[in-house]
Parts: sequence; C-alpha cells; structure tokens
Amino acid sequence: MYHRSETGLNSWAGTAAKLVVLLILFAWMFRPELAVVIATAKHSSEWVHALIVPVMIVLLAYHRRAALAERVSRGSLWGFVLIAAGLALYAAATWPFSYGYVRDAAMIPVLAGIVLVVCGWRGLGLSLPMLLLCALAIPLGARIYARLIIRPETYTIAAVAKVLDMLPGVGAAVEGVDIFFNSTSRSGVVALGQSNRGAQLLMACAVVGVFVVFSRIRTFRRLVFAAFLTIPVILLCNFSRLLSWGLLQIYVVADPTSVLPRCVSTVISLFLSYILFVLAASAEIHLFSDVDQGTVIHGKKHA
Amino acid sequence: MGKSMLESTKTNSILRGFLSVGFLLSAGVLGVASIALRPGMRALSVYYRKESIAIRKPLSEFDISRLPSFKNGWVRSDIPPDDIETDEYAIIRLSAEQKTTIPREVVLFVTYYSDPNSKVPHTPDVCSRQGGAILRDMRSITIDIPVLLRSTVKARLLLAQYQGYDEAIIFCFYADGRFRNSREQVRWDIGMPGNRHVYFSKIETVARYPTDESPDAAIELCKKLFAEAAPVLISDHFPTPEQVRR
Repeated sequence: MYHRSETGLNSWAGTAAKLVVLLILFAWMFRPELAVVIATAKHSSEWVHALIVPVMIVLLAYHRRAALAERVSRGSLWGFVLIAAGLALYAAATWPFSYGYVRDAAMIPVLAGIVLVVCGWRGLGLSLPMLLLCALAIPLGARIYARLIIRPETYTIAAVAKVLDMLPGVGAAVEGVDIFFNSTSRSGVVALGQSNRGAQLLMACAVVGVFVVFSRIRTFRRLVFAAFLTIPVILLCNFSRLLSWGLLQIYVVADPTSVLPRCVSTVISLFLSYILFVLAASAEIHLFSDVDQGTVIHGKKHA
Repeated sequence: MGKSMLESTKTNSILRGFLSVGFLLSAGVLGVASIALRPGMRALSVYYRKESIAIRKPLSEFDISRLPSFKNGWVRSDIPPDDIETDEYAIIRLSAEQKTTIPREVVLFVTYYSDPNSKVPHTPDVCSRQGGAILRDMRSITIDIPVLLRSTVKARLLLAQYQGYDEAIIFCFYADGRFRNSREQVRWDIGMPGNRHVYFSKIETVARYPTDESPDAAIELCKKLFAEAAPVLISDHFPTPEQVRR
C-alpha cells in the first residue's frame, strides 16, 4: 500500500492538499516558536537570513520539481512516528526540562514527519536540504551561541589582528574581543560595540552554502566534498568579514559610528561564501567529473 | 458528461488520500497537540514546580581555618562583587605572607543560586573575554578530593591572558549534590524530577601568574584551594540531600 509510486495530476493535487493541511496544523501547533523565529530575524542581523529561508525552500522545490514528481510516493506511516517523537521532544523541553532551543528545534522532526507521511521516504530524501535550511533558521540562544563561538572568535580575532599588524604603518593589538589599531592617520577599535564581533554571520554563510550546493541534484561524493569544505569556508568568510571591516576602518571610514564598514564587510563575506560554495559544488575536479557525467548519462540521481 | 466524470474521479482520488491511516493519525495528533500539549505541559510544570531552599550558612562566613594548606601563612581579604545574579556569594582573596611564594595570591569565588527557573549564568570562559581576556587554553581537568565519596571531580580549566599578567581559572558547578562542569548539565539537574527543592553553586578558584612564566604553579594552587574548599562548602554551607528531598 505504502511506498507505491503514483503519477499524474490527481496524485499531485492530493499530495499538495495533504501537505497544506498538515502544515497548517504544524503552524498552529508551533505558533509561539514561529513567532519567536520571525521576531528574532526582524531584530537581529545575525538571524535575518531566516526571513529569506522560505523563498529558498520554494526555489529548491522548484529546482527539484522533476525529481519530486518522479519520486513522491503515497507516504509512510513512519512519518507519524517522527511527528510523535518531535512532539514528545517538545513536551519534554517544556517540562521537566526547560530548553527554549530544543522546543524550537522540535519543529524539524515534526516537519520531517509531515513530509514523510505525505511524500514517502524518497520525497523526504529530496526534502532534506529544505529541512536543513529550516534548522539553520532557528535562532540559538545568546548564551549557547556565546559559548559555541569562543574558539572560532578567539582565533579569528587573533588572525585579523596579526594581518592588520603586518600592514605598513599600522599597529594592531588584541585585548579581550577588541582589536585596537593605530595608523599614521587614525586609531580606534575594529567593530566597536558589535556583539560577537569575531564570529558573525556563520549561520547565514551556512544557509548560502546549503542553497548553492543543493540547488542541483548532485552526486554523493560531491556532497561529501562540499560538506567537508563547509566549516573551513564559513570560517574563511568570517575572517574576511572582520578583516575587511578593519581595513575599511583604517583606510576609508574615519567615523567609528559609520555603518558603512559593517554593511560592506557583510556583503563581502556573503558574496565570498557564495563564490566558494559554487566552486566547491561545481568545480571540474577529476575526482568527480566522471561520476557527474555518469550521473547525467544514466539519469542516476542522488540528493 | 465525460469531463464531469473525470473531475469526480479526481476529487474521489484526493479524498481517498485524506482517508489514509498515516495522514489521519498525523492530523489527529497534531490537532490534539495544538490544543492540549502546551497548556498540559505548563500545568504539569506548575504542579511539580520545585522550590527554593536557603543556604545553611552564609558564604560570607566561610571559614578559611578549615583549609589545611591555607589556614597558616595566608591572609584573607573579601573582594566586593562586580555584577552577579545572586546575593549569596563569597569572593575571598588569600594572599601569602611569605613574599617568595609564587603565585602570591589565589581567589576563591563561590556563588549560590536557588531559583527553579534559573537559566544558569554565564561561565568564566564567556565572561572573561568580555572583561578583556584572551583565552590561551580551555579544557577539562580532574581534581582529586579524597574526603568525598566520589573522590574525582571533573572541572574546567581556563588560562586567560590580560594586559600584563595571566590567570589560571578553575571552575565547576555543584548542583543538587553533584559536581557538574557545564551549564547544560546544571540545567538538566534543575529540571530533573525527584527532589522538592533546587539549588546550585559555582565554585571558582583563580590565581595570577606572570605572562612569560609557566602556568603550572598557578594551576596547582587553584586545584589545591578547590580540593580543600569544596568539602567545607558541602559539609557546612550547602543544603544536605535530605533537606533538598523534603
């Protein structure tokens, strides 16, 4: 009964209708958590990418429409198990344990369960990138985030200070999370007053990476390669953000309250992450070219 | 006529999809959860809410004569706090009378909290960086405390660099009768059903050393103070397991 592939408009309409009904119930169930995600995204530059995630999900679904049409089946009862597990996680994170982030994260297994119960295992496989985007849009609590970024922030600040210090006529030193600089024309602190200044936009870069890598259906080897590069690429983009911020403050913008360095450095790091993930996902490397061609020739799709 | 039959078949097919077991179960459980899950769990959390419990003896009355290695040759001075989320604390600086002792000073910093809704405050690894420190090392260590039933305690060690000096910091939480070295473990203990009351404490020892010197002596001094202070705190200050259960 289950897993049997169906084709045709009737099946599509039915699948879409079931998905809509369950997603409405999902939104009703998680309305406080969704409200928090939206409110956080509206007020925090760190999580503003959450607002664009629904558009990305629609675009990914559009890119995968042919594969979805081919592979969506009648669904699996295991989806109900996933939904129940997600709700149980939500309940446990309300009482006896009070973890706001876990309550938010419980949305992901419930969403996965909805996809599984409506579209089946193959539909769920194709939807994993969309679920990953949803997971990256859930804001981490300030205390958890502050603890997680200790090492990357420490190393990024130290590396940026070292590079700035090597520039002719510029001296730079680190104190805590501040990079103090002085040059012949001006002195100051890089990214003064910015919270988590040494580790920002990490999730935004990850979202860019997921979107770029999964914008096409790629081979498993290619995905492993991209996944392996994800953390180095994100850290490099973070480094470029703080470095470009510092360079702008030293050479271009004298006013420490100017938003220009922040905006420009944000664009630079996000654009760099886009370029690097495009390279990771599509560069012609001998290791993948045979497999990629084989995939196209034999119509063998992976994810 | 043919067109209407086709549309009727299409509608029937969609309706059949809605009658699948998986869909009905999922819609049912999501619908019920939307209505009942949140209020139900909130009611449970109110009903089983743990209660605060007062400390047995104020931390400001901590007796350094109970510390074998520090009762002679060390002078106590109390430091006023900066900004902590509790009124129950002790920040005790112990300074060696002999000027040749290195490090010359070590600080015992203990805080006590008993709020069932506490999210557990920041730990020194986060706070010290905001205070201008550069973290040079951050790892878990074990401290032997032979007088305790479980004689090995897992704590966190930080080496922080400030302008002109470095600090060795050892800290650990003590929550409902267990040593814990992370905030998440403490939050887990606070939520765990069983006891009627709830409390936790952060025990921290800090010693400064010159930037260009090895941190080993400072780490050993911090470990020694921690190992001697923890049993005193447990036996004289923190609530007993019976008090927490009652």
